[in-house]
Amino acid sequence: MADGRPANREPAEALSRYLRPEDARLLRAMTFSPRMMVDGALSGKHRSRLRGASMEFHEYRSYAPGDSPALVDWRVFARSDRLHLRTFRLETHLECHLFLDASASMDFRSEEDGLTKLDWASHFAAGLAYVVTLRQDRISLTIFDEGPRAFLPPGGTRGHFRRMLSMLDTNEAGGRTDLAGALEKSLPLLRRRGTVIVVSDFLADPAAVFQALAAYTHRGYRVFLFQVLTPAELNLPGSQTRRYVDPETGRRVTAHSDTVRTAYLEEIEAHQRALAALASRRGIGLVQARTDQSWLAQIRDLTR
Amino acid sequence: MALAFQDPGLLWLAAAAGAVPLVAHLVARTRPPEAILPTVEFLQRAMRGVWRLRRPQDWLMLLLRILALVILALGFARPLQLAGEGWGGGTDEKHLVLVVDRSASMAGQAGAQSRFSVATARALEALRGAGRLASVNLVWIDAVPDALHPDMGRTTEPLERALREAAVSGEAGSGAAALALAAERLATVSGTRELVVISDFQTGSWSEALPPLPEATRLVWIPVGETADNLSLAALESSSTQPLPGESIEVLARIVNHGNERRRARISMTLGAQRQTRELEIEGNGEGQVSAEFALDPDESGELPLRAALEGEGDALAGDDGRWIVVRQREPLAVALSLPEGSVSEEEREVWSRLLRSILWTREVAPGDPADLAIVAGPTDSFLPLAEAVWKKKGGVIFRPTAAAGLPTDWESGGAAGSWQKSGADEAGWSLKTGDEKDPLLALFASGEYGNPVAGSARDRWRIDPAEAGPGWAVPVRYVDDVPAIRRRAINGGSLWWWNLPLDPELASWTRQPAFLPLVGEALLLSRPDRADPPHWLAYAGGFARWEPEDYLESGEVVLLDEAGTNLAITEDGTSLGRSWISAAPLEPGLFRWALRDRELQQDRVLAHTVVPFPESEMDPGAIDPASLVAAAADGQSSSALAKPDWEKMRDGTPLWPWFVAIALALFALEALFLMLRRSSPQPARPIAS
Repeated sequence: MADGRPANREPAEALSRYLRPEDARLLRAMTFSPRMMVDGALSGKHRSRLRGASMEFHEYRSYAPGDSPALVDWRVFARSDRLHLRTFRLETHLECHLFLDASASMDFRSEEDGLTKLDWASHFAAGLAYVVTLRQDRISLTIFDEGPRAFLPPGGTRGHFRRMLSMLDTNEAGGRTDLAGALEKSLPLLRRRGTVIVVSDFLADPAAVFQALAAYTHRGYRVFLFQVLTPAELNLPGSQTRRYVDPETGRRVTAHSDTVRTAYLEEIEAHQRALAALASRRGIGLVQARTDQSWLAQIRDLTR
Repeated sequence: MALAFQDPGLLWLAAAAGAVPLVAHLVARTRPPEAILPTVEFLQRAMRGVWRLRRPQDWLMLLLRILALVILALGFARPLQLAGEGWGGGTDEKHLVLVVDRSASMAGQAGAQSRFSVATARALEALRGAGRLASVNLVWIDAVPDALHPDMGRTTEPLERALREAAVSGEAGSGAAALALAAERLATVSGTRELVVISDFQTGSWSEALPPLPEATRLVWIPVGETADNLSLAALESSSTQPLPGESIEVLARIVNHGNERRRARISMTLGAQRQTRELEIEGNGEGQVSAEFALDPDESGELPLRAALEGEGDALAGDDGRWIVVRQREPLAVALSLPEGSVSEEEREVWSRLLRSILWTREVAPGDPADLAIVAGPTDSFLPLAEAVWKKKGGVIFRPTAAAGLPTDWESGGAAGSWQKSGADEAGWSLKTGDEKDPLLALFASGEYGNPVAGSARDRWRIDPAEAGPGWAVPVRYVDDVPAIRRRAINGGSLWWWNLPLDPELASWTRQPAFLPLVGEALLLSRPDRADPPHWLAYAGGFARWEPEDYLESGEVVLLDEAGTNLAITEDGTSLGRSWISAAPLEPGLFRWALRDRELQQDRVLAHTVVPFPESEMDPGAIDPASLVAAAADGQSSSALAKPDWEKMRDGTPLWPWFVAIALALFALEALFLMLRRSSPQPARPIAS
């Protein structure tokens, strides 16, 4: 849904609420970016940074104690009486772990006919899953709020993709967000290293989030964060006194938007800057998107 | 500045109006529309910093709204601005003297109330609106002005009490004297001085030159009342206040029209049971008089009040519509006959005696008894003591010249001499003629009602040269040859008649004429000693009445009663030789009665009267323009910031509701401007770069 219209208004032949056939056609031309290349346990279309068994020769090198004798090229040893190892470039499957925030705060839209953050994130997840599975790469899906609420183990088949779409279609916004807790609890579910993509509004303590993400980065996961916010959250539009209600905590604050806008934007900016600074420091990719922007463009940027 | 409300009952509206925005503010703060926002935490953090900054603006807006509504609601209560910091201006502490007119003219009407009521009300307002006062005093404009405090007072309460309890004095007023007294009081203090004069500025009270005032004295003239038409009973006089028994009195009332229009006056005069009414037309600013004749009952004794009153409506001043005089019928004149044997005939002596008996107001007394009049003849030595005693009483002596004695030379001015003449029995004698038609002796006969006083003749006379009759003699009756028949002159305080007319019927035919008795009676009346009115009959407004009984008083209590019968305080004066009583308080115009009260019988026996006439100077309600006084004072004073307050505003106040509405609208406009400024320059919604 490149134009931002809700997926549930798509024609009946749509693949899902969140992936229309025309979007799928556009995605088909995209390839998952080398920047996102990760280690895969299974050989696949993507070259691994690890050397291993595969059909593609990489280089010869001298034997070193500890090397597997199976890798010794005995033919070279016969001619030169030297122990050389013949290494091949290991072809792996992309292992992508998608974390989707489905807390109550994600069920918020700026305009009456606009996308909620959860809609936008679901579109993004469906598109990404389509791109990943198109190349027989594997993708998992973890839907969380306070903790992991639903988990679809990694898979790369069409059936897996359909199951993922089904999960997204039936997903509803839940309760309060505990992003850090959810990430910590989800780590044991992942068997293989790969790319971790977290789609959330990240309206949480940045330090706690990145502390939870540190466990992933230490284990070799490459982490990308997709923060999605609505224009309303970013601009606090309007000019009247309102009683603002937090959808997760029920906390109420009465304020005139004109009165607090500047201070509010400063707070939001500070939060965003904190996220960006921590992400940069930890080598974590951070993309800050808005629901009025095209999720397709975000995937295009990702696969470029 | 004092603020009052014409509809104070609507003040609750102001309180309610003030509560409206406050309640609305609170309700608006708790009931705004709700909106879901996931970033409430950030909003809350933002609020912590912003609230302190925004709150003063919010409260300012709230204050503006409350003020606007309260002021608007106060406007509905019709606010008034009353007297301010002092009529003379200035806000510094000052010394204030109120000079308030309570002279008789202040009893005149000023609208629905008297001038004096208005004056005291305004004096109270002046006192209350005078601002900070260092000292105060009150001076009344009276005939003899008096101040409330011997020096300057410190508090206003005594003045307020005095103003509330005061009444018109009925006295003549002297504005200049009152100002002089006020100036004297103000001279004892230093600092800012203010003199507020409240008067009707009636012409009679302000005719004198104004006195100098102390330095730095603000003088404020406050006129009360307006010029109005007034008819005054300016005078009431009687031909005699002590008539003889049977003598009628002619009462004259003078009425003055102080208005410009011609007016009809109706005057009633009452003496005992007699009442007479007269009417007359009086030109504008003119005067007229009416007369009435009253005859007292010969048996009447004691004092009688004679009251004259102007009747009718439309008169500005009621006090000058009534007037009194007191009359008292005196005892018959005591006439002593000193006609020694041989001087006049027995017949003539008998005629004199009979004549005195026939006249109601004469009685014959022996020559040794006190006499008012004397009829004498013969040698001077025989009647001189009697004559001197009569003259001492300012009575008259009728000297009857005879053959034995014509007239003592020392009584005859110019030393005129003559000779005795006697005509024969068969002769007609010498006929009479009028010597001086205007002589009082002949005034009664001018109408002819009482006959011809010079009819008849006499055959026995003392002849003197007419040319040598001597100066100082009045000769009302002469003989045809100009020889004086009756002549009269003043002597030793009394009068002397030279009666050259025989009363013996054999010698004079005039004794048989109708005019005989009236002529002799008139001569006796003209010869009667003048008797001064008793001093207690008249007192002046603002003065005291004093009564000293002529006779010994029987047991009882002397009281002084006014017209309404109210007992007035009196004191007995023990300093005089006889017993006398004095009123304790100054009297107002009216009739007052001295009576002897018998406590057992609960009866008052009126013995004397005191009349206090309305001062004539107060009758003219015409007022001088205070501006002329301002000019006069300014010329003569080294200082004096003069001002005349706007009394309409002072009395009614200045309506302030238009100002209240304007201020409320201005506050609403200010609030709208604030709102517009806030909305036209909202905090910019800056998108966050993604």
